[in-house]
Amino acid sequence: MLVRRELRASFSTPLLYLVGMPLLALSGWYFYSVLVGDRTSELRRYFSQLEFLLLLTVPLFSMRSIAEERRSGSLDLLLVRPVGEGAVVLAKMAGIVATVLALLTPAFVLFVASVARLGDPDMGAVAAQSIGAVLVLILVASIGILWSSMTKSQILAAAGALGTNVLLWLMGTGLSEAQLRLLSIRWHTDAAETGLIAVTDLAYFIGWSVVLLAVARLGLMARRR
Amino acid sequence: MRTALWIWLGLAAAVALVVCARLWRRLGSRLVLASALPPALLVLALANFMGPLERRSWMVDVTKNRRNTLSSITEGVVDRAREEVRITAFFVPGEPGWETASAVIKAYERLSPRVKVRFVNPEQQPGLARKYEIEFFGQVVIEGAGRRERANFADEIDVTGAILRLTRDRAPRLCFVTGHGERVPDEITGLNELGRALDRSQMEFKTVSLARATTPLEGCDAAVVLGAKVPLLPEERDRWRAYLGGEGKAMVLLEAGGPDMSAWLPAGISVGEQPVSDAESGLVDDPEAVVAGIFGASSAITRDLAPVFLLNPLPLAIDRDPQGEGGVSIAKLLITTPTARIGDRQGTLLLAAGYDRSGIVPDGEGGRTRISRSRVFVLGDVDWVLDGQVELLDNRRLLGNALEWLVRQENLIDIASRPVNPPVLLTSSDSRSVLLSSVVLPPAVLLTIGVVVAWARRKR
Repeated sequence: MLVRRELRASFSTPLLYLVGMPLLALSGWYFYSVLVGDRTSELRRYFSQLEFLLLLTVPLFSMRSIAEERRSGSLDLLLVRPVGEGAVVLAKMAGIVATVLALLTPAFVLFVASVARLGDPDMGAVAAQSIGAVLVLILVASIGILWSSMTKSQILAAAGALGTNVLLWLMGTGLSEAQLRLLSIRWHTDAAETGLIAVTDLAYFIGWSVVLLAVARLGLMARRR
Repeated sequence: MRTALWIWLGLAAAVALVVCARLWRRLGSRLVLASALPPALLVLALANFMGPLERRSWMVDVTKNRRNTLSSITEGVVDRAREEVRITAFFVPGEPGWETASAVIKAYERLSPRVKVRFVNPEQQPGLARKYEIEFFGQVVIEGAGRRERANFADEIDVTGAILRLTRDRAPRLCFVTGHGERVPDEITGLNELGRALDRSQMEFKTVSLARATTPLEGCDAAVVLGAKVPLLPEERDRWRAYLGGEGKAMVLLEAGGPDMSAWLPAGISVGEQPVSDAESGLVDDPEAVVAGIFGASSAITRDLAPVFLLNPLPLAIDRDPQGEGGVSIAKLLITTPTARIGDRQGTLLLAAGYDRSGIVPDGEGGRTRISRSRVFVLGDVDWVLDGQVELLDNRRLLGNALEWLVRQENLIDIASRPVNPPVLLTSSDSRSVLLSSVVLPPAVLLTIGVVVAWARRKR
């Protein structure tokens, strides 16, 4: 019920369309440029670019989730209901993930159908790459929820989440020390992009998401008291 | 890995500490502990779970051709490397085959912490490419133990072969058989280039006479016979047969117009007396030449060879007995077009064959056994390795591949080639329709939904 409430709220705000249209257009352009530029049915480069796009856009979806409710006072109304803070935080995260998936999935099905018509995509690799992208989405949504739970300002929540995401991404580049790279999102999406499901990567994404959501939950608990 | 784990844990602990410290007074210790304990336990459990693991043990390759999974042969080769192995792959991202090749190279890094991988774009770092003497995109340089090896293709056979060369205790030794008019690597016989190529490949070579000792080929990793012109003496023949009948490895290049050469060949292979002509495949300025661009079998020797290969002039045809002895395989390596001729006979003829005999033999005391392997590469021409011709087309690579195949201990030939995704063929109308359906259609649909939602809200 809480997730449905989040989804309904997302689709009734102009923000979803303002952010969603460029997200879809850019995602489509990446797909087109990979297909036409590389002339291959391999979608690895597309997924790599899509994941980076998620780091940039998901904070715009998540910035409202708790910060706006705090500012308008509706958070207090929500918290007096007989639901736990954990359920609220989880519903917020699930709402963001469901919103982004609802935006991207139809387009993605169209992309895969195009590739299947023109070439011979490796569906196993596509499945692994999709799982990797969903894991990135869950983690960045959790980062966004945490930032949104810490401030009343949506701008600050978005900027904080964006900064964290970019930092976690840059750790995976040549700019960072080899050991720091193991903490980066980039490092942990690499295996999925090549078609491997790694337990360590699952642990990284799920572990961090749980920790971040638990901290956000603590913030809500403090508010209820 | 362990250091990273501590950084990982430290960060989680720092976040938890800061939050707990701020909330301690407001919430009370019990509540804070109750809330912080489960995630903290989870982090610890994950850390304990992840710590002792190597990445390779906990991965599932879900790709169609298991393209990220290296063979057990490669695992063995990498495990035996005692020092760090650095793999530098020179790729331009987006080039055809790049995705598959980079997946294979990264799979080596996952095999062992001693393997370090880096990708270099030669267009962005031309200096580094020059330093490593890179000739074309896709080459891979493998370094370790103060040595450097090169793989021309970023696939498992080439890269594992290069690691194997790098980790060998000593350079392979080739023995050039003399005494029958054979050629040896020197300037006099026109094989100067071959000598230089062997030096570059870190192969030692020496000449041996079958007549002078009872076991003249002892200590040789492979024997090379380049165009013998005189028949073998009976004692020599017995020694040569004993060598091939054991674990001998040999390259036998035959020369037209010579004596009966059957004594040089293993059982199951024979050679014709008349040379082959193949007008259909000849060069415009040299109609006598045979350009063989047809490879009869997928093998480590001819795999990925350029589609043409020059034999000049007039090679001999090889015959193979399909009903050979057990444990023997004779691969058709190089064949002519169907228009080739020997005298009145016309059809597809065999120009080069790879003989491979393996069997289990006793090894020391205690009933132990091991696999014994004998290999012979036979080609009905010798001129293609001479100075001036070895440089032509892909002759040098054919020679190098054949020698590597002979001196290797591992049967890298068993490593399956990974099929590369075929390119997507896009017409201009396909391109337009993909552009419309991927870039224009999804945002347009979302805009329509947005307009409908806004209109419905306003109506309410």
